[in-house]
Amino acid sequence: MNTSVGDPIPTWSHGPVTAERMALMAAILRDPNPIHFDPATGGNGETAPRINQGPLNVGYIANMLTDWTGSASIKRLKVRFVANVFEGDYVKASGVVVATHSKDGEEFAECDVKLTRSNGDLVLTGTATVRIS
Amino acid sequence: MIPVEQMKLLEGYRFPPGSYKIEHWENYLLTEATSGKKPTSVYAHPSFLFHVPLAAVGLTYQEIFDLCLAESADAVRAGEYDWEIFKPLEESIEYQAQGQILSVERKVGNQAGVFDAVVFAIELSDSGQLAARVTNTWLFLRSNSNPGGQTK
Repeated sequence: MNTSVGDPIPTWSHGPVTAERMALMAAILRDPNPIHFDPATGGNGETAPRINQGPLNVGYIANMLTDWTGSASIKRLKVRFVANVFEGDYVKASGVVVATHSKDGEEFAECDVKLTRSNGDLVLTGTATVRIS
Repeated sequence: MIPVEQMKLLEGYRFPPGSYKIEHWENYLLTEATSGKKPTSVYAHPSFLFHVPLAAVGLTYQEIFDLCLAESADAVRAGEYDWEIFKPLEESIEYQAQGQILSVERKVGNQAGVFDAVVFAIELSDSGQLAARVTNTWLFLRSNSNPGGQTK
């Protein structure tokens, strides 16, 4: 792969985020937090939109990276959570190459990555190292 | 509010060593949950780096919540994840895990209010070779806080 500093990573988009996928993730993870599957957590009898799991939001970033460089290419992924994703949201993962280097005959790209909601709100931000050859 | 001194006692706590094997069905379903492409190889979805280390040391989320004196299941938020992958995770490999709580720090955030940031690291090995290291920060919101952050 011919990759240079400043190259954008092909974006990865998904939506709408569904309650069904959150429930599936909660079951796989055995995650008891009701905010992922029970809309009746708004307090005072109010309903609240379900909140997507953090690992799913990171998973969207991983999907972008593996679609770009292959399923075994991620060497490091470091993210910081900024905001929530709710059911019904549309999200977009994006990134840019900020450095390249080689080691032991393999080429790597250092990338800045982020996940945003369709209204432009930043959900998570971070860095990734991927093998590009 | 839980005294910070009590939380600091968690620093250095070693998780019980254990192991975990990712089954194909789990990989298929977790990948489906992320809306990723269906797995066509033995490689597991990277998001397993959230689930496998905890499962390997034999702790459920609820047990982590209890260990860190979470006030409720919905008073826990994600802070940061740092996943180092030395060898891609694969299905059907029994990964050995060991890890510990590295630090506990009480902080005050504009949105989250008072919370305890608990940093833990777990290493996964395959046949004695390090496969991955995860260093995750979870935030445990305390009673006078105003939760607004990302869930785990």
